[in-house]
Amino acid sequence: MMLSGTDLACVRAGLPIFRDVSFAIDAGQALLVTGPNGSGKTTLLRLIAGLIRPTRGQVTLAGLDPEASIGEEAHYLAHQDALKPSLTVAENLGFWSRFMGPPASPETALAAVRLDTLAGLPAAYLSAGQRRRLSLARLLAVYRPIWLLDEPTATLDADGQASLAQIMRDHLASGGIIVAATHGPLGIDGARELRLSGGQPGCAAGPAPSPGTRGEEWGEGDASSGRSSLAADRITAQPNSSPQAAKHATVLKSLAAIFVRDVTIALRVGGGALMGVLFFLAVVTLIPFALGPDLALLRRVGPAVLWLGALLASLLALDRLFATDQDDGSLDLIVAGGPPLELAVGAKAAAHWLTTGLPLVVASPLFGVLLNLEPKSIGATVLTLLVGTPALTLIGLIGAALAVALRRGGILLPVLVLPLTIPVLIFGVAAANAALDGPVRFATPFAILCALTLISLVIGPFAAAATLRHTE
Amino acid sequence: MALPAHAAFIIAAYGATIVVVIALIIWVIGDYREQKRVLAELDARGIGRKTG
Amino acid sequence: MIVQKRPMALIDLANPSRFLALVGRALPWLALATAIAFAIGIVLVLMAPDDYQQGATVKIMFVHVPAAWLASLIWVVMSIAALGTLVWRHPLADVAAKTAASIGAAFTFLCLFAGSMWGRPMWGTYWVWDARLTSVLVMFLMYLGLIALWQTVEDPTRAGRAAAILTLVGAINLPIIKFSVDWWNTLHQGTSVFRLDGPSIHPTILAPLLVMALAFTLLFVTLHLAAMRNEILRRRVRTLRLLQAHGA
Repeated sequence: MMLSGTDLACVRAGLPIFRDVSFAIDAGQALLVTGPNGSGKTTLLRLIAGLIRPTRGQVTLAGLDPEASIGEEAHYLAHQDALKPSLTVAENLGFWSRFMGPPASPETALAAVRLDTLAGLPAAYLSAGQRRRLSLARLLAVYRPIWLLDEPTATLDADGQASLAQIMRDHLASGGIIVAATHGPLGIDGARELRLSGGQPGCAAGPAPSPGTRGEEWGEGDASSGRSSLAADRITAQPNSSPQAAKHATVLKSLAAIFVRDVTIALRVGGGALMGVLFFLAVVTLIPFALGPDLALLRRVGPAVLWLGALLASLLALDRLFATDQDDGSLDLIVAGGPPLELAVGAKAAAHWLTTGLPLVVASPLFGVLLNLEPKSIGATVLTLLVGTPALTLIGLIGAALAVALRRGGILLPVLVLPLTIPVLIFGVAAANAALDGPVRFATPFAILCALTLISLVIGPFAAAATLRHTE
Repeated sequence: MALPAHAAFIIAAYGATIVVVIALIIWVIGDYREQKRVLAELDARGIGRKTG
Repeated sequence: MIVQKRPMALIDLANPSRFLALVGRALPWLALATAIAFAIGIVLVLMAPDDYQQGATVKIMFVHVPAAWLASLIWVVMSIAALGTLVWRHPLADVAAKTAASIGAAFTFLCLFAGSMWGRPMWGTYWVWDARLTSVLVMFLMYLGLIALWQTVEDPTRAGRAAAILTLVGAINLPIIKFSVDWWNTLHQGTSVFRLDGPSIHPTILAPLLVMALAFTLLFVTLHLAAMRNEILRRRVRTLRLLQAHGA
């Protein structure tokens, strides 16, 4: 196994970050990336993980499953900890174990970082150092050969740093690769150094492409080539090219893990479903204040009012789709390595609809009563909302992904998505209104509504995934 | 006593009252038991023993 | 032990442990009083005569009106608690405010539902946008907003301060809203002349009404104190969990 980068250059937002960066790392070797702040250490790590595309050059991984991307074979430990405060320590680690696929042993990992006594504690109570240790447990729970660590010793005390050094040595001894951005020594012997000095040409003082030759070293000792053969044995022992069926099962498990986690958080944090329904009620209440309490008029516009309320409530809830994951670093991990991003995004959309869209549908009959709708009307409106709100969520995926890419939230997101939802609104209201005219008049717009939902089922996740991949 | 007209609505109104009241009581009692349980569990682990 | 003869001052309630002990002792009696009040109230309700116009459905009023009174009363309680948080910094004010919100929302919902049940047989529709029901609906919206605020903001102290401000703003606004809704309703008086006031108060109607109102109030006090106790325990759990994290 060999991880190598050739002539890498990266430009972001028009500013050159680094160029002419090359390195080659064998199994069992570590590369320390050093340099002043702003020299691009994090950028290089994200580049290797596959989260950023290099402006020039390429990163290649030789010796493992050729169909797997580097991100799928790597653990990326960023500054953020990718922890959900409302889940317990064990639940957080359990999610990543299931998401990243077998083999996984969360309990032993927790014990290794001495967090097993806190397994049932909500992650919100952890100190910074404990959160970092929990992130390290992720590296231990699921085996991946490549570790990309961004300043891993930050927030760790002396004990923690010693544990980390031991963990890293164990990983190298079993044939893994470590690329670590750091300001100081990490306690592993024989690591090479790659110094970035901030946008200057030819700044890479890394080793030559052939392993085991030049390059600066921390401490004594040599990255002995004798280790490589031993490492090679260890690597083939890992189940890294599984048969197709096992791979499908893993993907399904990862998707299920995302779905369950999002629903759990939504139920625990609360507020999400309630806020949506509350906003829905507010809109429904506001309309009569504007139109007057004329019951006959309200009955005529009732389905439209319900649709408008549900649509606006759906749009407002959208920025919670990706925002928290982006903020705590989970989104990077989901994008980098795991199931296909389209499916992962779809799983998130499903969880989102279940916890925000479905409550709107459930509340709509009650609000229909407020608007003096007759039962047939209410029934038709509920049915159209049931079919239409998923479309709103799926179309909203695109806007939510754009908000991640643009790093802007707020009102921008609903404004972007609103025009895209117009067809759904038109046919939803048309079908609801047509119900009073009989089943035939109802069927046509309803069928079109169903078709729109199915189309959005395809377009939404694909567009959103594409957007997320091209985000820096 | 003959059933009054619109009995269904009277029953619905009072029925809802009973349901809501019972739900509130269950919530209060259930929450009490839950908090007591968690406190007992934390106490068994010896957390917070020394403080007042 | 404590000398009991001096009258209980507010300061006694400030100590959460003391408060918990007091509540523990008082709750059984309060619960008993509530049950007795409801028992008497139900008997009086059953004995009350039917209205010459509305028949027996007027008896829905014995649930609808007390629920409405309580919805407003609880907002007043929350407002006092809000002053306790912002002005006097009473340690239990937050706890009182948070727990009152849920109970208040429940009673407001009851008022709306009973009103709807009253409206349907009498005026043919489950909902009317008349002044009183609409004002209560707006109050219901504001209650739910407060609950959403308590649930979403994670730090209890910050949530308490925000909720206190919102409660006081609401207290000022609710009369304004009621006035506006009244005005809006009279604008459209031609289309609907619904009055859920019920008949003028007659002694045989007054007695059950007052007793039911008393019963509901006692119910609120009992539930509120019990819920406050739960909230104090919950905060204790939170503190212990923080300790647990620091220990490891």
